[in-house]
Amino acid sequence: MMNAEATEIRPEVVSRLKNGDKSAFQEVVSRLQKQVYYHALIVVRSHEDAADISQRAFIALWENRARIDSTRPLYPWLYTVLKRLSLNLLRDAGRRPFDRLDDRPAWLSPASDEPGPQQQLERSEQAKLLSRCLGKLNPGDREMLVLREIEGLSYAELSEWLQIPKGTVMSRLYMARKRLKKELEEAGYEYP
Amino acid sequence: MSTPDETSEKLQYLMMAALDGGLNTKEQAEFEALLQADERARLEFETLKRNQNSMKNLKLTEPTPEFWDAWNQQLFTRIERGAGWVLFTLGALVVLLYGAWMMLEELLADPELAWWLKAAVVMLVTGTLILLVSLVRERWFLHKQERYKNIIR
Repeated sequence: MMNAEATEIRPEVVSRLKNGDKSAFQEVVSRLQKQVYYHALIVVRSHEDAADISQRAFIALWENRARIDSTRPLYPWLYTVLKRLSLNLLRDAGRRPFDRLDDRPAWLSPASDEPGPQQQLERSEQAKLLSRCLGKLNPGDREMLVLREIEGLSYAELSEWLQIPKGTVMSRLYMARKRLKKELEEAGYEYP
Repeated sequence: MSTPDETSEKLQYLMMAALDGGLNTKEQAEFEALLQADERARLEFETLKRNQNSMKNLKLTEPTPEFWDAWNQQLFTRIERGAGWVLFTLGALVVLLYGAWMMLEELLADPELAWWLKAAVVMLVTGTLILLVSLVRERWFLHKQERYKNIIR
């Protein structure tokens, strides 16, 4: 669903965008909209908010197009805006784990359909519990874990996207995994 | 001989590399030896591995295909309306300020209006101005403190 290769935008397109070319903007939007949307979804855990945040990130891109450096990758720029908007939204709404998000459509679901109804139910319950425990982590830990374990990003990709050194990726991942382990243990998670 | 901190760092590195498939043959042997010698580390590794497997059975829930059409439409509508709102707000602000100034001038110049009513109007206007300046200053301060405000690369 998300991969670093798909976020690469040709410098020529970015240059056209810088000059206010709407077709270049549309091209950027169609290339990056899903990545930006899913990235926001990981942080805010709500489809409705992710839709709003991802649109606002693109609006910021259009409004600040003249300040973009066309020689550098575009995604880290969008990511910075996205992260700011997402964290502001979480802060302003005072949204914390176990808030009203429980009533919204799930942001995580089982990856494949199990053959029997019993297995389906188990997978679904497991997905709910993991979603809840991931929701209790801070957005940075959650982002790190989901991008690595679910989206399968490599350390190099995580380093580029999150703009942190590779060594930091490893140590942050370690801490995030330990914190998730603690949350799951506290929630009485039974291992398959 | 390694210090406890160095051993812990090494174990952390090997554990992460083992979970993410980054161990070479030599490191693999070293990691297995460490796990055999340290029961707590072995249990921790097994739990982290199981958590990792559980997470791999998940995916981000996908919205319906129609969602993307609506998303696109909304984005371009918001961009179009954004410019409209800025112009509207600026225009409205100028008109309102001009209207308020005219009204104030007329009120203060009116000889039939009681002095205390004029004083009340002046206090009301001054208070509003102070609140407005304070609000703008607070917004400006928050903007200056904003960690991600410099979004230029």
